[in-house]
Amino acid sequence: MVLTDLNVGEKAIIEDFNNPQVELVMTDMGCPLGTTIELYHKTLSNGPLSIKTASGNLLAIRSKEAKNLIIRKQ
Amino acid sequence: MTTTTQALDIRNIALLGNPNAGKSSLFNALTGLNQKVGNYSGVTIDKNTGTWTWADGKTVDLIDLPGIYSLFAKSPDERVVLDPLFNLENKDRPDLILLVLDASNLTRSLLLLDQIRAFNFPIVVVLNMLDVATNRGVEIDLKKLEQKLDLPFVAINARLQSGLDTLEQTIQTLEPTLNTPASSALTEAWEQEIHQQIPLQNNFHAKLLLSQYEHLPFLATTQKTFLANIVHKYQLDLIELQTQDSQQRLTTLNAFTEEVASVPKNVVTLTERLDKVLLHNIGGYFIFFTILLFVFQAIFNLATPPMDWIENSFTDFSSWLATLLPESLLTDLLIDGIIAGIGGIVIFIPQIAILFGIISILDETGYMARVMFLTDKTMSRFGLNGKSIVPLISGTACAVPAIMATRNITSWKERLTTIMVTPLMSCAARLPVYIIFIALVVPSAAVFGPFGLQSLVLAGLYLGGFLAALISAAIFNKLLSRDIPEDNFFVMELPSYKLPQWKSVGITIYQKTSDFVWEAGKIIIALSIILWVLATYGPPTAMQQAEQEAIELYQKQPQIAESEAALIASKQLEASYIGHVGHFIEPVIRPLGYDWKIGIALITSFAAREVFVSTMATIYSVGDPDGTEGTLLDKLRNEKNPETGALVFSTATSFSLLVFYLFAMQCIATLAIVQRETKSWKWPMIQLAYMTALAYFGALLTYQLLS
Repeated sequence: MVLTDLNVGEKAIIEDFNNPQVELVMTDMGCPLGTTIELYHKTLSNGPLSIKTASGNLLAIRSKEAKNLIIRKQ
Repeated sequence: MTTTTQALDIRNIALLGNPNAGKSSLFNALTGLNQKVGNYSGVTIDKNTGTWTWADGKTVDLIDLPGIYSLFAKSPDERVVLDPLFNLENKDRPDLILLVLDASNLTRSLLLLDQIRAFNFPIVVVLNMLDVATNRGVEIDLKKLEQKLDLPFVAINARLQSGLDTLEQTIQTLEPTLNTPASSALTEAWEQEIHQQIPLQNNFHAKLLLSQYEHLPFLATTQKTFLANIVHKYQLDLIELQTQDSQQRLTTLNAFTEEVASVPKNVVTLTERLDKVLLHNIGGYFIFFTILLFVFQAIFNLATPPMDWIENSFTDFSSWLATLLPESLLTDLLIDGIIAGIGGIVIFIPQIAILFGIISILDETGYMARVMFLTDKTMSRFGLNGKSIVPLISGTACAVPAIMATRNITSWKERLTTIMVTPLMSCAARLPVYIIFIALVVPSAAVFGPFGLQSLVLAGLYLGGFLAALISAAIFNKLLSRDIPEDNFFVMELPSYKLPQWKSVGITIYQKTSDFVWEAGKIIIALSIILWVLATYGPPTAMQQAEQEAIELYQKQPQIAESEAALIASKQLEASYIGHVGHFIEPVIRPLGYDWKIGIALITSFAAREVFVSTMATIYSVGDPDGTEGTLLDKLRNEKNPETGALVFSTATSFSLLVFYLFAMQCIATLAIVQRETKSWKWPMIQLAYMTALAYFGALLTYQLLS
């Protein structure tokens, strides 16, 4: 399952970013592998989506990257 | 990497922390208005320094380093943090680091602290944003946190300015026991190999050096080659190296946070409620466009009175100076070259100040990040980025600060594309040219209710510039794909909404305006002087002949000019070097519907586009160009081609000129900034070429279709 499959309000654990650069940026922003996230908002027509990390941060990510981001739904 | 132990005589303090951790609020609270903006050596990123005066009268220098999540810097503005830390010679090297922890994001901000501890700077930890943490239902055991950190520790509220006295006392009573970095052994073979050439204190230094060496200005070329060889020799995956380092730290720090703070409660914060409206899939865009409309309205309407005032003041000052000083070339140079040049810069200050004031307010509240989020999809279709929206909007005032605003775009390809297309946005300097030609050929009839035809044409020009920017961006993106690898991704934080802090809004306005005044100003003034020389001097006999002709002509037909002096000025401009250039380029611009007189005005526009209007006024011997727009308009309207008797400023020529000014890169200041930001002449030259081609063929097409 990937991040784009998640509905707003659903929670999941990040299992694989499949993009080393995105992984580095997200890790440094306090959202490494294994973080529990919640889908916060989806924009129209495959635009970026935003997630809420366990500590309440909101991070935005493009759906292109979100499609590669493997999650395990909780 | 050895650092010396110093006694705690603190003169230089650096502020470090995550973006949105309240670092700048603290900086503003501590320094008040005792701030200045400089540049980091070698790069063009604003450096904010200020003076902090203590209760005992002692003053210390405070430097506000850019907000970063991690020392593994990813963009030029993040990288400037590294030099003061690594480079012993750096003049900004701090005696003390104030590390701002974000209480609402404890683990993440501890990551930066953990990295900084690898350097042996004295550190004072400042805990901010406790109110946000409380709103999220997080309770922090401050005693325990301080104990576990084992560093001097102060809890503050930067917005309410509480806890600052304690902070001051803590720093004053600091004992000169240095933070000795955890000296982890250099276990890897590559770490040891680096250590033989460049002494390292710990393996974090090794990782930082390897991942950032290309951007560290203090490293010698031989050292950079050496480090490049290490990467190659050991086949190191630098991205993975950095990710693993941060990941390991975060695992430890997570456990740390769990001990000192409670987990956030499941509360619906104000930010979440606001986002329901502001990020709404339909309503959100509607609100954005409404705000955008308001921004443009403000740029034009609010800026008009101060702009008129500035224009009148400069005119008054010039005429006052003219009566005071003896009539001489030097006086001419002062008034028509230098003061006119300065006036041409100052006139744009109100628009730039208002625009950046609004952008700064939107940014401070956290809304700008939402705009980037909402527009990213549309922008990325054209090879841009959600973050391109700020440069593009800023471009409607002036491309110079707009291009500087691209620095936070991490993807080089998207940043370059944004830089290349931003000058197509219709800037404030184009407006006077638009206005005069629209007034010339578009009837002032009202159509579509409240909208006049003239304002619709004007709106069309702005929209045309925006569409041209988007289309050019898409083309650049295709072309650049061959040379620059796809590194575009978009990850950004959506900060919590907060009320703007007026002090920092004021500081942003001041910084952006002074950027413009100094960066664009010096070039515009230099060019104004060169153009003044070219327009004042010509082959001596030709100049005298021109004067003679004008005097005779005025005696015969005094009705053709406002005054004898105006007619002489007009004839002499024709005979001057610039007049020669105008004649010289006439064959090239003839197909666009322009004669040599317009040619002269096109050339003088290179100092600043709005100079077009005053040059036209001189050529048509209207005399003093200021305040005589009506006269100029009449002159232009009745100007006939001496051979054919046809109107010079026909609808076709006027629209051709509008299209030309819409697309043409007639701004040396912008080219200079593009050179500085891209560190090469290649990009400004390509920009000049493509925009000139766009302008030329656009104008050609317009003229040929309409005539």
